[in-house]
Amino acid sequence: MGVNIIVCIKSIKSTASQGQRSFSDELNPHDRATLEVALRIREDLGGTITALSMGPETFATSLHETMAIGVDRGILISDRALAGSDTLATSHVLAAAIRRLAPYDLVLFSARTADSDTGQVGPQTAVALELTIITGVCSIEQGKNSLLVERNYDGFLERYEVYFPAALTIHQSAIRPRDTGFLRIQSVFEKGLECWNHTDLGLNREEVGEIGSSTRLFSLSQTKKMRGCTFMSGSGPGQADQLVKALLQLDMI
Amino acid sequence: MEKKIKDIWVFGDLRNRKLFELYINVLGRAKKFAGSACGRVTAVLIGSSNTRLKFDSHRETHLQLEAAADESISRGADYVHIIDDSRLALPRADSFASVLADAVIRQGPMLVIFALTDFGRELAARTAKMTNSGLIAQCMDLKMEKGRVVAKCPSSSSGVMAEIIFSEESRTGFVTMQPAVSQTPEAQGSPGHIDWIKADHLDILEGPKLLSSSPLRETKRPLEEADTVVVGGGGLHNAENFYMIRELAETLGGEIGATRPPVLQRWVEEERLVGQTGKTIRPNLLFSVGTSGAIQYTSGIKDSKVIVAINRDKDSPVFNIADLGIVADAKTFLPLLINRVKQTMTYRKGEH
Repeated sequence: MGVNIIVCIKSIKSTASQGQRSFSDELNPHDRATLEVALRIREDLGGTITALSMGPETFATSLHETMAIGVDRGILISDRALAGSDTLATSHVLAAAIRRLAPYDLVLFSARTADSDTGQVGPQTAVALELTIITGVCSIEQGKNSLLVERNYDGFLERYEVYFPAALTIHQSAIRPRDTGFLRIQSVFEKGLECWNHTDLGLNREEVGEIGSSTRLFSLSQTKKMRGCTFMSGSGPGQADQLVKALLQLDMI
Repeated sequence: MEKKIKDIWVFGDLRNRKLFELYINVLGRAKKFAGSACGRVTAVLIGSSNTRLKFDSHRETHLQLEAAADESISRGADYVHIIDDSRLALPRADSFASVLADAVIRQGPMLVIFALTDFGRELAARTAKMTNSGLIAQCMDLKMEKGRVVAKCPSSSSGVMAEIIFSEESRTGFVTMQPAVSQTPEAQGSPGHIDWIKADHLDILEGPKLLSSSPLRETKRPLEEADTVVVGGGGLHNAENFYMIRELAETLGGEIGATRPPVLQRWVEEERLVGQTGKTIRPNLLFSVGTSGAIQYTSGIKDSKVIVAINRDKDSPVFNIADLGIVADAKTFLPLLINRVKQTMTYRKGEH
């Protein structure tokens, strides 16, 4: 028996703490809570967890990390045609991939990602799959043959009964992710990552990426307000003095 | 040359007065945009005029369709579409999306705008997907440029705004808008016509069972509401040094915040975490002490009025977002600062 769980994850750019020039992709921090929900459900009910991610090859690192945390199968959906996807195109691709993984019981997304606050991909993918979805879930209990979920929805505390198959977007506050500590690197290489492209999903170029999107980036601009930092000179007491004076002048204390 | 009048729809949230006012803010913004875009604004209200709501908490606060329509007109809507059906009594994103999508497909407005609330966000996402339309999120401002709608939104990079447009083939564009900025009150809309739309023929999605719904008490959010916040980072090295952050905050009458290292090391509670995976704050005065200036953190503080950064590395990126900077070791500098502030406070007290 057991439940087949699919977790849609995302990587975000991280900057090394020393400077801002080197980028590496890391697992979206919000996805850790979502993964933890999947791990707990599998602990209670048995089954499998598949992590799914759409993006460039650098997203593979995050998928490897999820497998080291305990995910059974990691799938990267990647190819050049997918670049420039908005949430409409992304949800179309994710839905095609999820259909390919049928039968499944539960599809999980994070309610937010650290680099974009839209919260759209989950609901749009669920609509494409005609799947029930509850967004922003902050608590999950097991019912008789169902899940009892709660969320804070614009100041209303709502409680739903959800039957499989269903989708949920998980709010960060739902659960505390386990300390992953020393990762089981060996098992990752034994399992291996799967890589799918849009043709594997039975999709045409026109349905994906920038061509399949309905919104485009027009321009980027620096906001007018740029801070210029004034440094307090001298040392110790002198700096403290200067700072307090400056704050008094600004009417801040 | 006759210019085609463009239809701009705004979804009206009737669940309670507070959410209705957020919708009215967005209605005002839509009206301003419509003025420059040769457009007219239609409020779209969905519900049931003759069904008693199941949950007491809803019944107490939910606005009546007709009254909401009248108020929408007096506050700027030129037209109102009311979709009235007993199956729509309870506000739900799944059922509302079915009927809204149907109306959008039949009438083809140029834009459908939603206030950025949990419900607005979900309803917009569902309806955009059902109508295969683009959705621009978190829009701060709308304008027309060369006959196209251009939406200004925050980008994933700090300090950078993005302008987003709909693709050429788009018929209807969806937008979620920041509702918090209230406008100067709008004049009455004109002609103020109300249209009652039937949803009888529609298959309305029946979603999962709602077991209960109750209003949450307004929870205290000390960190988000503080005027002054002192944030401590990993550069403080241990819990003992971190204590000085508390002292400085207390002296200034402010709250404490932290970046991830102090939270991981358990020098401070998780609720104090500031940044992308923690809280976003915009106090008048913010001290950033012994923090590296990583984007995951600074995105949570960048809208503070005055930022003071204290770091012993003069090249630390934290100084890029600060107004006042001190290159010093927090451990030795903080006691001096705390003293100086205490002196100033006492001195001022003495003056009165």
